[in-house]
Amino acid sequence: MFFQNKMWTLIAVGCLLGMSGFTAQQKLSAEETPAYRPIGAPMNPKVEVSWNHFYNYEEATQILKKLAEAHPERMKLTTLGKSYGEREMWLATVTNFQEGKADQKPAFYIDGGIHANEIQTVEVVLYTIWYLCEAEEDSPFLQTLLKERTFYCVPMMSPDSRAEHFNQPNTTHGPRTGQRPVDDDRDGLVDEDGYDDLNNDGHITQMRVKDPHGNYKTHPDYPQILIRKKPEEEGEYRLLGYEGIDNDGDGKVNEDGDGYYDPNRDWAWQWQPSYIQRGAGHYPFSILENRYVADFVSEHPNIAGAQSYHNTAGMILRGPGAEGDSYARSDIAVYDKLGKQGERILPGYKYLNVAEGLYTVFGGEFDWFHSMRGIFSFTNELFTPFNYFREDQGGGFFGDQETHAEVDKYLLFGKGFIPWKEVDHPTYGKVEVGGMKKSWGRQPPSFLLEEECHRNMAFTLYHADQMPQVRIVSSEVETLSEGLYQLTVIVKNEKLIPTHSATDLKNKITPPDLLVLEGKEIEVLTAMSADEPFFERPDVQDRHPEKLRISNIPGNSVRYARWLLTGKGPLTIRLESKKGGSDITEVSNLGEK
Amino acid sequence: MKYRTIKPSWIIYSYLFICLLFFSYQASPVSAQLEAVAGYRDFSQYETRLEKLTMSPWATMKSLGKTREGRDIWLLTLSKDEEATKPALFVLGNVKASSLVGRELCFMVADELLNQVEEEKSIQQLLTDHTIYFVPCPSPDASEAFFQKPYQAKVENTRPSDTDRDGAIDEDPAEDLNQDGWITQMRVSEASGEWMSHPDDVRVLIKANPGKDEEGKFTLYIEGKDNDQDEAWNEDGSGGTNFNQNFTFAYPYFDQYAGPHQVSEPETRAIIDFLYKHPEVVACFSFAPEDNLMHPWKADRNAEKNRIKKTLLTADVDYFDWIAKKYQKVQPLKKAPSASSGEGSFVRWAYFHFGRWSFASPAWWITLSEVKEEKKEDASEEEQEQEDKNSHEEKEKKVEESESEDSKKEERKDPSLEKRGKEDRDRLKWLKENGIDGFVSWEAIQHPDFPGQKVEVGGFKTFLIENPPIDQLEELVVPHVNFLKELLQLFPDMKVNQIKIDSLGKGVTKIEVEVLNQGYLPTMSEMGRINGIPYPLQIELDLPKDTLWITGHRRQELRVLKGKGGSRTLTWLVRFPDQSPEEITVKVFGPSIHPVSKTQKLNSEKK
Repeated sequence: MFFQNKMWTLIAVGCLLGMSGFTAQQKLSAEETPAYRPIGAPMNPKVEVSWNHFYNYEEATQILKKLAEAHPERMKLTTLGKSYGEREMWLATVTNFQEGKADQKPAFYIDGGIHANEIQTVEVVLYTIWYLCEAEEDSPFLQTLLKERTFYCVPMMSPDSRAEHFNQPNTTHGPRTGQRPVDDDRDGLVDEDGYDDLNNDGHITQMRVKDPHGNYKTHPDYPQILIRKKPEEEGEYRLLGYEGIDNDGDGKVNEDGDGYYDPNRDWAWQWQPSYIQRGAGHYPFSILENRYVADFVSEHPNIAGAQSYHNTAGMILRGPGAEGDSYARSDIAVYDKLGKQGERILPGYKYLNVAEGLYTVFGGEFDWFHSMRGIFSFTNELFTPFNYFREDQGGGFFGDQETHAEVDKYLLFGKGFIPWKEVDHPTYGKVEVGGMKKSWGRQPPSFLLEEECHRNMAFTLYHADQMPQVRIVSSEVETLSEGLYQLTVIVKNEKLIPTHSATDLKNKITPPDLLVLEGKEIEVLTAMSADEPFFERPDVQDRHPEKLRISNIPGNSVRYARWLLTGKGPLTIRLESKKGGSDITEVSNLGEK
Repeated sequence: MKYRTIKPSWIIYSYLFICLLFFSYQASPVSAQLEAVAGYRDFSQYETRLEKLTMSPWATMKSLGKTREGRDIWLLTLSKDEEATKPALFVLGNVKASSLVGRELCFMVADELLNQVEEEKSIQQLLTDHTIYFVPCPSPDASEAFFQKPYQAKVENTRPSDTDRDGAIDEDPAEDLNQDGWITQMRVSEASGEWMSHPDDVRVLIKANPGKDEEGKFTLYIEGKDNDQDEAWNEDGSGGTNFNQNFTFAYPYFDQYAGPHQVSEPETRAIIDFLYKHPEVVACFSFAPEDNLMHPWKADRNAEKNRIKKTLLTADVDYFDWIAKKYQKVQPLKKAPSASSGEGSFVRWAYFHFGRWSFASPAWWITLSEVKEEKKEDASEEEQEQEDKNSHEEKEKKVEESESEDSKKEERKDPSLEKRGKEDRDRLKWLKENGIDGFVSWEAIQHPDFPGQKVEVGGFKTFLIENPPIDQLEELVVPHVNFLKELLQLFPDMKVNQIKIDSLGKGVTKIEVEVLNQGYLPTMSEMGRINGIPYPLQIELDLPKDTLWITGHRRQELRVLKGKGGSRTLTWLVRFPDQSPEEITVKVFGPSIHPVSKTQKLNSEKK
């Protein structure tokens, strides 16, 4: 019985379950069923892009155009100008264009590919634009972010050299420069002795020559790589550097190739000429592509955060870039908060300041953002060899060649290396050419690329979210005597980043925040602000008291404002902060009980 | 008679004076613009005159770019063959925009050279062998303030700017409150002021010293109103960036007139871009306050150990000193005012960042007749130098002999020993000696920003103390022409002195070449060697194509050679697989020298 009863129950339950399943199927047809997507991905992207792929200039341009077309309310595509090679310097402005004006919201600036050989930096920016356009559907966080903030994205800072890296033989390290010709060796000939692709495979690899007195021998486990021989051993090979010949007959091989100038040593803060800082041009912003950006940023004081992407080695870098320079303690505290969170978001990445943690960089981009524009900015060095096997690898920034050989064998199935092949060399005779392809070393392999894009974007969105956001918290009117009122307002910056960095305040870069009183029938006698509620040490402002200047609202802090006024309501209080947005409130009861 | 109604007598004098100037300079067309300083030409007149110079077959002009207001930055090239690359001298005119002296002199020097070249063979040779580039007016928008009322000496161009960084652009310029056509100063009487009158001359203000129990009486401002009501007066006028603060060396970040960043201006970019395209430039001469000819730069052995060089390098100091002495000999004026340190200036950039020999002098400065007298007494050179050093501490006590009614009231006859304000007092003396109405006496006005307070407008007409009546420049033209000619003679002068050829047999040949610099200057300054901007010289052996280079290369860089007989010997070992050539030609070249070569017959005995 008991058993039977149970049976019946089971059948009943089964029927119920079956029925409920049946009804659900009735509600949604096959086309209506949402795709089962991995969490984190946009649910219904209008533009499908695969993120295990590198996009050349034309392809990247197509992605940007498609996104602008598919999302006119979220993304606008404009150009800052043309590069030296007549390519567009694309600027994607991403925000909720239906809510407020783009240039009046606190804005976050992102760029990629200033060093064109650092290929995946462009994909990270493209991914960010794509994600912001496509992913807000089920994320209140992203909805608020796009409503209140603007993103200015320049995915390709050096588009000519990106084309050069894709289309011409190169190593993973080049071209770092732009494509304006430079007579590096000052012999009157320009770019006359660059690399030569001796085996015509599109990659610039190594040259070696068999030599029993050479310093190298074949690796016992990975025959495609060479290792230094021990002193007592006989050598096998001599390495002759990158593929190339002495094109101009001056006894030097590859001494005057593309460029050379370094677009990331071209920025005005702590700029030094090339004898101090290799790669510096003739003067800051002598590189047109950079000047477009510098002018754009200078004309947009709403930019409050910035991120530029480089590779390699997995670092979240802040300034100062130059030894001897320093940032104010209060600014560093903000950076530390952001950077430490970044280390969580980006496993294997380390948060450092360049001058102390790395090496001196004069005229770096992020330093200009911070020190001359007062903008909190990071440079991320994408990809770390840590990610190959999720463990710390030796071998510095790029990882050692044994790791590469192991990755090539077990993860890339031999696709990573060009096998050694004999060719004739005009100076050295018979040489062998071979080694790592240009498409990795600094760039992640395909299966790690999307992760890199997403995690880096996540870090910048966290940073963007922490840009200042000002609010009027309260306003209170007190009658002091017949017809004389005291209006006290509390304003708050709800986020981590102050409306003015310490550098900004020191050099008066961004105008102060303003609290503006407007009322047809009021007369404002005086105004003051303070950082404590009792106005014990107020900043008093007699001239134009209706426009009270507040020099700064620090992160997660309030400021107190007070006016003495006469007249009648209603009146409005407007809070305007260049970097912190705006807010408005009304007081209707002035002069009434 | 009709002037009677005008009360301040100086207006009459100045009017008469200006009329006088009009008549005395027939060359200058009568124009209302000349009211500021007679004889100086505004931009369009300057252009017309430049065009006239290019009638000479030795001169051409070309625009290096346009300013924000659309004026051309003109380059005047003096050379027999403008297209050929020859060792060149670059001469920059009014580096300080308000000092029109530089533009005029630069122009007059070019003019004089073009006059001389017609007659003198030596000049013809000089301009056949060299190029002289003149940019008389690098910052014309700023200089044009000279000709626009109200007159205000400006160094900055008209880039719209938020000078006081309050978010508003150019919202608080100066105003001509007393309507005299000049922006001078205003002083407000208040107890908190830090300025007081000079005990001997009430026109001059000096800073009160609490250590002497002195009380300040005045606060000093530029003439004008506080248009934006921020309690700062005239802090954000229509400008701008100062050309001479916009260069990369020792750039004064965030300085009022430094611009948004280094080389932000079309003017600065035009000059730097031109120079980088012209590696043949060996030296620069500037009419500029960053004087290193009357006050030579000092080297600092300790400071120069730093990687970033900020002081003249010891290795270059002798050359600079000797050339400065040459200049001091030709410059008729003595006791030059102290040099400007020049942060972001052209002159220091040209040496420290461009690596060229860079010389500068303001060329003209206020010189009192008593100094000229002293000069006539002919102090020996060393004494003169010593005097120069002491000039600032010295106290001059000579009492003026003849004094006008006006100044008798203002200057006391029994002078105190007050040293402060000497520069202003010298200026006043000079103005008087030269009959120039260059000072506006302090006169009370009503000022809306200072109700109930005494406000007076007065002070120097800045242009007039920076720019003398133009005839005073004439005596400076030939000395500067001579100095520049001399400078060109000092350029490096290469010679392939000796070629030694040793045939070692079987076509193996040793070639030894000695190269000599017969010029005074080294082939490159030490600063240039360090910063790597000037082009190194190249040496090339003209040998058959199939020559095998055992050691050395067909063409190679030649390291720096000292001046005055600096030499270097290079050796090649080559093999001629077929037949030895009959002769070997060695060429030494580079954009900054005359190419030289020497051919040597091969001794074909050993085979």
